[in-house]
Amino acid sequence: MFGTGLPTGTVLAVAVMALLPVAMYLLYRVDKRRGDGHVTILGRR
Amino acid sequence: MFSIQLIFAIYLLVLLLIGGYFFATTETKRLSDYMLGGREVGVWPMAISDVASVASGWTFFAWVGIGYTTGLSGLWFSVTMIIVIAFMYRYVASPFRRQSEELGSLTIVDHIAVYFEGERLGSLIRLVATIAVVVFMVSYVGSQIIAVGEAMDTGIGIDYTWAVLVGGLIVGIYTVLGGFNASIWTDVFQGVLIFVAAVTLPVLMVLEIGGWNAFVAEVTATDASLLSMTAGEAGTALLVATLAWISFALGTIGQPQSLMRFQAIDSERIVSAASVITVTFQSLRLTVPLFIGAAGRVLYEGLDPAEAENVAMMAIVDLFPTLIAGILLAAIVSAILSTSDSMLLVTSADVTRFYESAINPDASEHELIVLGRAVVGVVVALGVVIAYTRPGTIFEIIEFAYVGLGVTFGIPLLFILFWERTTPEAVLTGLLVGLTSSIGSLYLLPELDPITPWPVTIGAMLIVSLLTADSTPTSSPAAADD
Repeated sequence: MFGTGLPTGTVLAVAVMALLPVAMYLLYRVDKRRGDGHVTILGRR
Repeated sequence: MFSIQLIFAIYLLVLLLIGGYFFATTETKRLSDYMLGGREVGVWPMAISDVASVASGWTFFAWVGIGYTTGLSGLWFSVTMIIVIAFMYRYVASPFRRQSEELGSLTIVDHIAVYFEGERLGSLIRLVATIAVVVFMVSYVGSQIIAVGEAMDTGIGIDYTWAVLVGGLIVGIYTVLGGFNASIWTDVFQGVLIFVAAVTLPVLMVLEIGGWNAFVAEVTATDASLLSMTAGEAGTALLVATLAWISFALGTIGQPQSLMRFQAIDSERIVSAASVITVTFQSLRLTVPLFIGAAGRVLYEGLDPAEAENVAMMAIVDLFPTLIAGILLAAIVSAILSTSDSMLLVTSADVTRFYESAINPDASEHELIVLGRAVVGVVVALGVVIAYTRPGTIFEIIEFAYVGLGVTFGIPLLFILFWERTTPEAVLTGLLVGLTSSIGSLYLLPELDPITPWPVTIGAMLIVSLLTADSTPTSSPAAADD
């Protein structure tokens, strides 16, 4: 899949591993803006 | 070989000097200073040391061995674990840290015990929790010492018997000298070296095979199931195998050495930032070793499961120039030592608090620190005994300890944090069932290990909580605040 030669399920699993850090970074940006650095849930502390 | 040994010796000497420096310059008078660095740990030390403390015998031995024998289906574990880590940072770290400061708790065992202190069963909860942490941590430390022995044996040519003894001594001395401050700063240094090793080794191995396409073709020709998420299984067998990976990864919720880092941070405001660093490093170290193992299957065909766990060490010696190989081996061994020192500190804190709480309430801080250091020595000695007896592969021992800690401490912690009807009886039940079911499932239901302990422990805690909720008004801080 995607020219990697790996099965679809494996590519999806690797993609989750690669994308979760990005998701955490985006959440951190939200926390910084709306929670003064504190972890926020749906934009609230 | 001589230069690898020299580099290795210099590295370990630096490690001991760091421990000595903190011993000589830091006023580790209070027990909480010794264990938690005075709750003043910042974002980078916290996140990277969290990674370094778990990235060790597991990453470069056990997980590589899984890549070699089972293949990329281990990603079921990786995906579950990374999601659980994200959950812990987003939903558990802040309330746990807050509650820990209110209670003045030092570790997860201490936290559970202090939470119910003064209530009936309070002292029994501490006793059972302390026994459980000693059982699982001695096993965990033993697995790390096996990894140290294998690394020195395979990579540096030091006989396993001596390597185990020397490694155990070094980690014991280092932990005793420095406490958490030394541990967390050397973890940072080692976290960086691990990152370098984790990135460069698989690249060299794939290049050695002939590039990415050759890697895929060769691995497929060797065993087509290695690259698949099903590992060649189907139906019930696939379901059980997948649930086993997920159950193993759920153990992340109760690892005392990681939870202690939540307790040690200087402000809840750094949790979100630390989560980005931790999840990034974890993502790397949970994925890459599986590829190293799969590549090792091509480069080192025909190894048994125990030998397969040494593939990364073999590849480092074979593929890197001697100087680099020496540095990387030292980094890996020191990461293993740092994992052990985090575990030793937790175990030491728990036994010490039990002594203070149940045996000698008037003990001085100095007396407690001396006792804590003695406990480190005893646990190291027991770990060395495990390393000599070798009751299983590194992976098998880690799996037992990791799931046992998760079930026994993680489940009660989540109950305490998120369910107000949790009673002391329920927590005591959770500790007892978690400990016994983790050991029992190894012998009674090995085909379903490590799945069984989870529903059994959760079910037992739920039932006992519901049965005892009315008769046992809780005096926990959380309830008092309401």
